[in-house]
Amino acid sequence: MNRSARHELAFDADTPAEFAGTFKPTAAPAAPSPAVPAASGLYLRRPKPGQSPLAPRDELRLDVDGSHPQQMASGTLRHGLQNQYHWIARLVPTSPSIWTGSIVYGSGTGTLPNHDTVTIARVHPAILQTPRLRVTFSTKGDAGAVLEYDFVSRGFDPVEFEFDATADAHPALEIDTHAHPDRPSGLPAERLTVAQVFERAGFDVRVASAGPPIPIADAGADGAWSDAEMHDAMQAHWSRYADRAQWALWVLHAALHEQGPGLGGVMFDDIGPHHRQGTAVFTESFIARPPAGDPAPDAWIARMRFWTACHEMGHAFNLAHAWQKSLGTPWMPMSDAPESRSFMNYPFRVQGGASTFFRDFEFRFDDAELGFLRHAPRGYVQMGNADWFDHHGFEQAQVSREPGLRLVARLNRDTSLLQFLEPAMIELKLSNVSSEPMLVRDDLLTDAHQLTLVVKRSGHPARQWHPYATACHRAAARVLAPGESMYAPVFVGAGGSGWLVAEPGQYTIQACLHLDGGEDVLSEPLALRVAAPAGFDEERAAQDLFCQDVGRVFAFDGTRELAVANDALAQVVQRMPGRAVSTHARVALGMPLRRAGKVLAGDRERTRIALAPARPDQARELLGEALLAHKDAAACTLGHVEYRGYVEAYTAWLAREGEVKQAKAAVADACTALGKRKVKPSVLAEMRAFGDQLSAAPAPAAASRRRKG
Amino acid sequence: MDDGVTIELREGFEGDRVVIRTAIHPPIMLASVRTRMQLGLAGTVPLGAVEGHVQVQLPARGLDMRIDLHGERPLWVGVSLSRDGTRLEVEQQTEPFRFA
Repeated sequence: MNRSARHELAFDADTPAEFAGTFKPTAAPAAPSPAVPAASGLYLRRPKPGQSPLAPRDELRLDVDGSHPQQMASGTLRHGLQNQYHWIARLVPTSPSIWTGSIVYGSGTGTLPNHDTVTIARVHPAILQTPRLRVTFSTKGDAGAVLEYDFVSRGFDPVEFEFDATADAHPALEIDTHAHPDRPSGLPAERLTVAQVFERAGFDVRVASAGPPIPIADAGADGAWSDAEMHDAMQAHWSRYADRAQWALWVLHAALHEQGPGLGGVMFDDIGPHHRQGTAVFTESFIARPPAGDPAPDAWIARMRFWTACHEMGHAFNLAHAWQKSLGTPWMPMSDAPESRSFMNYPFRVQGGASTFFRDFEFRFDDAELGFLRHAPRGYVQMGNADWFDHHGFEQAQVSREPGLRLVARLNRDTSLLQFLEPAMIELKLSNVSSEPMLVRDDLLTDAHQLTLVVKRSGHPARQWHPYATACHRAAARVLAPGESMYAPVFVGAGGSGWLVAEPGQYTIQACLHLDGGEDVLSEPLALRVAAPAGFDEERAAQDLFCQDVGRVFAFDGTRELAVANDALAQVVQRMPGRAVSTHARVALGMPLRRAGKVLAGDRERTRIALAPARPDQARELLGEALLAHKDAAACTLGHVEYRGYVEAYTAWLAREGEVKQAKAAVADACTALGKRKVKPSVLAEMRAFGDQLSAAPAPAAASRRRKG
Repeated sequence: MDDGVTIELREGFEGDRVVIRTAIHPPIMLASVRTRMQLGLAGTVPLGAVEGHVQVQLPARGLDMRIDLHGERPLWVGVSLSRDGTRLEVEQQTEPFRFA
């Protein structure tokens, strides 16, 4: 049954067969009988008299029939322009067309005053009238608000998928569910598509037309992809890419990840503020290697490729692995499900291995996951949407009277003056000023959920800084001893909300950390001044530099895709080589040139992979000039933490290129320069130890990344 | 790494400093090792032709584990932190660990 046909279903109060018995908390049959009209779907509240038809309307999602119904309803109630309250109820049918249950979850701004029960009744419409629900919110039998909702769609939300593939990849977006003998005995035989999997999870799915296969002739010998290359490719070639939240997802099928055949796929998009928009499946990885003696190896491969696609796409909907559900900050308490027969579990991780898994696997997400996909606050699920984040203003800060922590925002220089065009780097320092050891999150200074930075230019409204990158990880606790400090650099000049420190003038920057216990730690305001342009060249360069692409390039230490940004930086290096901005430009231009990297080239119809070659001589010239020619000036403008990081990255690369002696000397010189700037002896000792260990052998790889914006 | 040993740091790492010691290498120090939740993998360390045992240390947690290596090669050694962060858990196998 296609989507449009499903939308034309009649809507009446015939008794669904599955409601004839008692309520079962677990999933009902996989699909409704075609003869039974379904009630589940998305409803919108009827407009109030005089309300603009364009005004946002309260939503209700009813989930009582259809594919694996969860016997739940959820909705939003809006109050005024800003306030929105999200509620979820678990339901029991009390008659064929009436459901009632307790509200088990509520969050957001606004309230659902004094109501703990919801009763939902299908209204019997006249022919051709829009089906609707009458919803009563009540408490202990006292009826409260009665609201009416109109039917909109069977799916709870619309979502668009775009599948692209390289020429050496073999996507499996559709499979025969009976092709492999390891399957549940009652599994329906059908051709199942990835789109249908997500339709059954509750979405109205649209599959965008993909471009032709991407040729790989110029992709280099390995043909393997890094996360950064995929993110660049997503920005350049996904037709729907946007720097905002949207119900849309890009899925790249490629042969292999640079990590090797052990990686079957990855939701690679944890770069940037709007993450979870891109996933990848590596079709020639272990998922193309059936076990010896498998009775249907081709079907095994197709099924693993299909499973991997749905698994990675599940991550993009913010689903965790089945055994990780209790980690992090779940939206409601959840239990790990290491034996779950879900797309979000590894088949080879369950007891009995993959064949056992697939003998019980019905090509679905488990009930807890369906509850999340259908009923969690939509910001938690929608691609590109940050986790639910209340905007905290400083006027609401809950500052302790006797703070144990002190936060300082500072520049690593004696003056508060920045040159015009100089990217504004500040350093945050968090110190334990109490007499007792304190337990803090180790990502406290870099986690966008805990750090708020506001930048105010004199005479202009304050603006909040948002990082380009928001990490998605589990926080660790660390002990901060009395007197001990932790540090983090922040590129506060630009971020997801644009350039904040650019035009000449006075600026005030203030940081606030929100601790887990509810306490806020507020820094003293940092005042800085941006000088006037030194000449016409700088005024002209400003037009090219103060754009989002260049901000991103500074934040991510270079690009192979954003040619206009690279051109602007090259112009800076050429025209104003002695200015501070040139140091930043040289670093951004030089870092990607140390190694070859893939880019997608050509237009959408004739996309191909090209290998941007390493240019070691240029990298050496740019980074050497930036970091070592004027070490004191470089450490001043880059900040001490960033300067050290770049020096160590550069010298590790030099050593691998065989220039071990030069690399060791460069580290020693940088240590001397930082020593003159009164950097702590313990930091210098760590750097010297790093220099002593440099060798031409490949350095061990770690998955962690340094971040500054 | 056709005939060598590879350490795969997997679940539970939260910005940890990890030190790996073998009989043939200088100590390998990894700063800020953190598990990528969408993979369950924090980092991969190819060690080459190591025999006998390796030692994995997380100084800040006071964890220090000697791992006696199986005789087969190639060998992949998966190291995870227990859910409460107080123990190291080790798994050895002769094929790469798989992630998705």
